[in-house]
Amino acid sequence: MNPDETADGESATRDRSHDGSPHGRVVLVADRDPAVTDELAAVLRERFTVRSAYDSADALASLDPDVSVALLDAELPGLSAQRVVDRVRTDDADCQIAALADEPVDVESTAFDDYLLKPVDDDRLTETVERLSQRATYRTTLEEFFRVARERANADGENRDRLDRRLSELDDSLDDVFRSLDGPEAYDAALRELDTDP
Amino acid sequence: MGGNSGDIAMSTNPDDSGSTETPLNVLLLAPTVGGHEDEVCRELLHGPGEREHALLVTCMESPAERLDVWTDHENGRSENATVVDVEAAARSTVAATAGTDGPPNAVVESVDPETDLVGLGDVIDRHLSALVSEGEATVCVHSVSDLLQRAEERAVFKFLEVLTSTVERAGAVAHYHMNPDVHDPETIETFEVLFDSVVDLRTANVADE
Repeated sequence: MNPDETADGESATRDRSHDGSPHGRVVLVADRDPAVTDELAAVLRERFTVRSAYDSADALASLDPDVSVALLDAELPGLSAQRVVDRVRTDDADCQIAALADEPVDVESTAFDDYLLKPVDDDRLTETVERLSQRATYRTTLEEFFRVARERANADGENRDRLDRRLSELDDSLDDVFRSLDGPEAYDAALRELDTDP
Repeated sequence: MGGNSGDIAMSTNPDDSGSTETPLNVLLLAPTVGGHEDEVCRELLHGPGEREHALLVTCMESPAERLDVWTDHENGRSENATVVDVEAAARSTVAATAGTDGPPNAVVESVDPETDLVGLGDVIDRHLSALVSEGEATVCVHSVSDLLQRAEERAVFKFLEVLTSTVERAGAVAHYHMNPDVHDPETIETFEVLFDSVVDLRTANVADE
């Protein structure tokens, strides 16, 4: 279903902590104009693993926990950002979503995290996906940090030592990603609630 | 911490591999009764670096009460402080207006009751940046227990991870009050991993009662 995905076996070897290396990060592109989808996918393929989708059914089928950034046509029939969020954002995985839009989007009132105005500038495209990918990594790592901290609180002996080491690794990963985010962006990535849509 | 209130037992977290001499983010476990919470708070605020710019985050206590802890009465020095008042709307109007009699160089910002943790983070971040640009900054969060009344544990935990990271990046120091009497031990142990060190006033050898 995803002939565009180039990294074979990616999901099997995926590090649950999302270590931030470019190869673990899958980007989904879905514009209602197939030519636009292909064009954006070609630019992004230089840095990311890319999946292309040409309609909403395709897009939904392509979504799994490996997708950390989705670029979705705001006008694609049958596909809302909220539907994507409901599908892919769980405790273990995060997907940051940018709208491909013809006019500016008030992201606060939608489930979108950002938007890109069409026609999309190449540099802006790469930069936006890079930033959203960092946000997704931050959110996911932070979630695991909390889960392990919770687990550690109830553990003892060797188990606790093991969890302490895991926490230390996660802490380092969080520090790495945090460097690329400013304060407000970090709070937003960490905490923004997305069940705001009716 | 060579203050005159005796030695404060600092337990460094096991997962803190890169420990420094002055812990940047300290969890202050202060029980409901006793423990000299205000004295220790004052000592942590001023710290060894004689920091002169304070950011005081308060929930249930009034800004005036928190400013009173910060103000150095002994030396009569006038010091800069910014208070972020999280629960102004929840306190009585009398208590809220009492916040206006702080030192003249204190700024009090009351956070809109509708503000979520993301919004609170933004307010704190803005004031912290401003204080850091003026000099050495010190932060007091009073308290984690009150924040846990506002939001669920998972969200407060994440909020504090971001806050401790911004404090570290800003080169500031901070401490965070938490009342161990109102939480189960698992909650305390979950939160302690966020901090460089923990000061537990239930066991610390702070000046005898």
